[in-house]
Amino acid sequence: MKKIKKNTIFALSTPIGTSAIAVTRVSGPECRRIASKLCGKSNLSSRHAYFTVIKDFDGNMIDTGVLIYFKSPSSFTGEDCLEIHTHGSMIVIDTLLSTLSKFKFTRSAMPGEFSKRGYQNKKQDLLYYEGVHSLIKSETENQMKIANRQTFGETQNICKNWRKSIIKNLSILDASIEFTEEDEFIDCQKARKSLSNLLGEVEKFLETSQNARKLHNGQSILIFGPPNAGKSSFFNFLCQEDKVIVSRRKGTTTDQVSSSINISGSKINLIDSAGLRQPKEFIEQKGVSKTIDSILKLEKFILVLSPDTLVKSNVSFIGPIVRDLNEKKLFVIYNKTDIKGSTKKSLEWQKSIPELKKFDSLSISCVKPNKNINILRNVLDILHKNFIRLDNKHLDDYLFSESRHIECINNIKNHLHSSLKHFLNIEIAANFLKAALNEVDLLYGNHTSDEELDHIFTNFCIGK
Amino acid sequence: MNFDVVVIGAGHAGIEAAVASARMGARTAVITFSQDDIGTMSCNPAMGGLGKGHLIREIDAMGGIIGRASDLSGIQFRMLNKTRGEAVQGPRAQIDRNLYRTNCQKLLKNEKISFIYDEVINILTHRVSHKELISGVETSNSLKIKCSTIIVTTGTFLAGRIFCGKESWSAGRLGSRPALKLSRFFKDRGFSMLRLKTGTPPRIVGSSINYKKCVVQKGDKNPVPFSFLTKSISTDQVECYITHTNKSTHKIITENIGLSPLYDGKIDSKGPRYCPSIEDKVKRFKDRTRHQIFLEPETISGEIIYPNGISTSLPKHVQLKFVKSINGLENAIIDKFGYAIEYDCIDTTEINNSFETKKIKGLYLAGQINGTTGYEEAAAQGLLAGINAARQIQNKNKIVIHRSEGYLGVLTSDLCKAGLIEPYRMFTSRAEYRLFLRADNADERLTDIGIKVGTVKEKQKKKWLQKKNLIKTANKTLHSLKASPQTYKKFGLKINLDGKKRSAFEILGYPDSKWSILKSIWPQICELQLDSKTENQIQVNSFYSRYTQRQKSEIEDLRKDEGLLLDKGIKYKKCPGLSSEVRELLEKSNPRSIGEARALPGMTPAAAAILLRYVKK
Repeated sequence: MKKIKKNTIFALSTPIGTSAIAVTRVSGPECRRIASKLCGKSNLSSRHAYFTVIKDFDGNMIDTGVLIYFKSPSSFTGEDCLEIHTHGSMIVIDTLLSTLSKFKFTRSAMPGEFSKRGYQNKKQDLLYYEGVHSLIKSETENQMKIANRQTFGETQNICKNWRKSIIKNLSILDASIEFTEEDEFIDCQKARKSLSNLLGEVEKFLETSQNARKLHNGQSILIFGPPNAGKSSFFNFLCQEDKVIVSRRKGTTTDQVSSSINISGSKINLIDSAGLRQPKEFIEQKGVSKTIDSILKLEKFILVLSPDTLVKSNVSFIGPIVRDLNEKKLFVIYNKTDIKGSTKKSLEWQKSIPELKKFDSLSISCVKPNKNINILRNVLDILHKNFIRLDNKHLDDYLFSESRHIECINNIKNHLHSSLKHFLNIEIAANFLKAALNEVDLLYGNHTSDEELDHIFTNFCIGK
Repeated sequence: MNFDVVVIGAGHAGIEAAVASARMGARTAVITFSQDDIGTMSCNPAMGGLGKGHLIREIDAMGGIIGRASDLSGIQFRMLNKTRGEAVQGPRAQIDRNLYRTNCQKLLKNEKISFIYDEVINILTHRVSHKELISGVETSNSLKIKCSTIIVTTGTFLAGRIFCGKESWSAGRLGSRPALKLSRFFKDRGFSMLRLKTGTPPRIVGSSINYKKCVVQKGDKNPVPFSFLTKSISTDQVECYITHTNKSTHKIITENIGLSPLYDGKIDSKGPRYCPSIEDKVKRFKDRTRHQIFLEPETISGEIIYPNGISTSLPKHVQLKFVKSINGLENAIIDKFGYAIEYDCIDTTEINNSFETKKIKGLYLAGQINGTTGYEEAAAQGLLAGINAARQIQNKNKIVIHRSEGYLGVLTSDLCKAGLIEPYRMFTSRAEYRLFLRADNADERLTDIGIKVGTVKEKQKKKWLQKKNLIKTANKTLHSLKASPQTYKKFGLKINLDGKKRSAFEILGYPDSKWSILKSIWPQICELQLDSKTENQIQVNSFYSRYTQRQKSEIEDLRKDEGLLLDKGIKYKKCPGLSSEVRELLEKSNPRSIGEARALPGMTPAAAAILLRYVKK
């Protein structure tokens, strides 16, 4: 059947707005015609930077800039591509884009379409494009590390090895089924051993990937404590801006407020909460019960206490919560060191709630801390070392981060497990092994159905 | 003379094609060189095995005769993988090749088929606007036969060439003329062709073999027949023997390998990797000290033995020398020498999934001409081509078996995918629904289709409908009877005492479960009056249902709308929501069903869904 002629697509690849340089990308069969009309260049050499005048459809000059032609298949999309570097003026960009749209068979690119074409032309596998996407979205060093691994090799190699191992062992089982008459010795036990090793490896990656996912999304840390202990002040202090209204009035904060901050390369979702006490009014009651819910759900907390909140009602409310944290992680902030006798009061807090001694703590004052950036850096350092970094120690093993990856790996694990469980019924073992193989292909992007692809590529913003 | 369907060739594909189309009421003729060619087994004297046995069961379930003819001619039956699960058990039998030919001809007498012994030298066509259509054939006796469909099943006869050492000559198989003129026809019309090869071993005079030095291989005590119509096997059963090549055999072959046309560059066509010549085996697996040889009798009297495993094209004197180096064959007399045969086949990009060529309407290809090997694979295609040619005569739409319905479907879709790198042979691992596509349930899967199209005869139809009814009632009963684990345990079944009630059907699939246990819990099960074969089939269904449920629902979803036909005059322009690219694609390729539309490259599931909604409205 004749291949349908594809439209040529174009899009601004740099952010919209005034800037020194803007890059517009074009991909598709019309590239050469466009280059000839816009820049008067024919017989373009591939991967050569031409300094050129750029004209509109009627031959009026738009700008001068750089034109690069990437000849198919050596381009990001696998098709003929152009990169047009212009000055980053809104009117230049608008004129250029509207000029491009005037050509026959051209149109503006859909979100992620450049990547999609690259995938369809088998330039790279799915993990690569997801990696590029993650890289662009990365806000912290750790996210960047994972994205780079995914984009530039290691992850794919692991999938390839899994794929190889499954195919190899499946072929052993199938050979023993198909060629039952031959006197060739087919060692199914060896396959069994190899598969259980593989299962071990997959399980390990599943665990570390789940951690990686957490890292990717950022860890959530809830700040809680009695009313007026200065939780919101501490929250603002860490965020370095006045996100939450603070006042001397108890119960100022009634709802949760969260902010995403970067602590030494790790993404943290910091959540401020309503002070914990017997609520006096409806809105406060809602806030308190929401805090309690969060404590049950989350894993990491910062408890803010202060000398002036050491009263019986607070101790009896906070004490049981601290006791029930069990294995969950807590960091204690003794706030308001500017109040006299605060050190003594901190010890008294620990006497009233003995469990507090189990956890790392820090005494600070959040009053006008902005003036001393060193205090902030110090606090962040201590938090990072004693509280956040723990999760990062296996970072070297983190490879998969998307929820799609975790789901696939989990399915691979389950299928391998079932295969081994049914090993005596060899045809059933082989059946589960095939299911595992399909799952690896899904992860790797070999057999992904179009619908899933559309979903994945729509979430991309690269190419736009 | 005037026919609806003309079948060229009377091998395994030709026979099934003719039987199917004749039963469907098409006026059918078979043209072949001579009567002796009907039902000839060109290569090894055996039918079935893994995948291949499955195919025979499926052809039989749809009314084909390969299973019946094999049952009447089988001289040693063995169920392969007997100790393993039913899904990977494959029925296989040694066949007396003389008996097979006689039985085929006998069975064919019951069908309304005209036989013409002649050579087809040309296929006649005419044009209606842009389309080329079949109008008839011309034979060497300058006979012109009118027909509107032709099924070409010429096997290895298309420009066949035999190689044996330095000698080589044109032939269809040893002692038969090739079909050179027909080959010309396909070349002239611009059909894309491939050249493939296969080989056959020397045949040995039975009385010259010392069987005492060989290992005996017995058949099954209770031979299981291929056909659903056969009650039991009545032919006498014989024994086979196994011997092995040895180091000195390998030395002789290695020393003379330059004399093999496979290695001196005379043959460069592709042969099957799963059926290598002894030269290949010795050369590729140098560390092996021996290779297995099955000594298979070609007939019940055992005058001629087929040594399965030493196919070769070495010169005659080398063949004799290496054969004599083998244990038990020291005094062997060779009846016919082994040879390699190269033949033309047609690239499967030329046919669609009804086995009709894309270039010429009414021209169908089936069997080895499509690049497959094996009697069973050929017969399967013959059946499907025969059905579709007759459907064309009836002006009815094509019948395409889905991959989830049978190995027939796996074969069809694999062939149509194209990209053949070697002769195509069926394996069970080609089927993604292997647990469901079993030899024991071929009738459950396919006989209803056979009845619908008209290939199943009255007797078989009656038998199946009776059985279907029994299974239906049994399933209903077994699903309705439920008991606690305690009850099952009391009757001796190993089971988790988890308090969960399970149905009798579910329990039947448990590893240690027996019908007798269920019958003692619920005496009413005895009233179902199932024969032991049906009992087994239900039990196997239950066992695998635990693993196939997910796959089955997948199949259901697929099938629900895949078969939905698209009107020929459909106006894609009027279908809202389709992108111009997709619309252009659909207009160009004119898919006949939603399934075909979905399979088009560039078609998105979203577009398929839009189309589906539009069509359903």
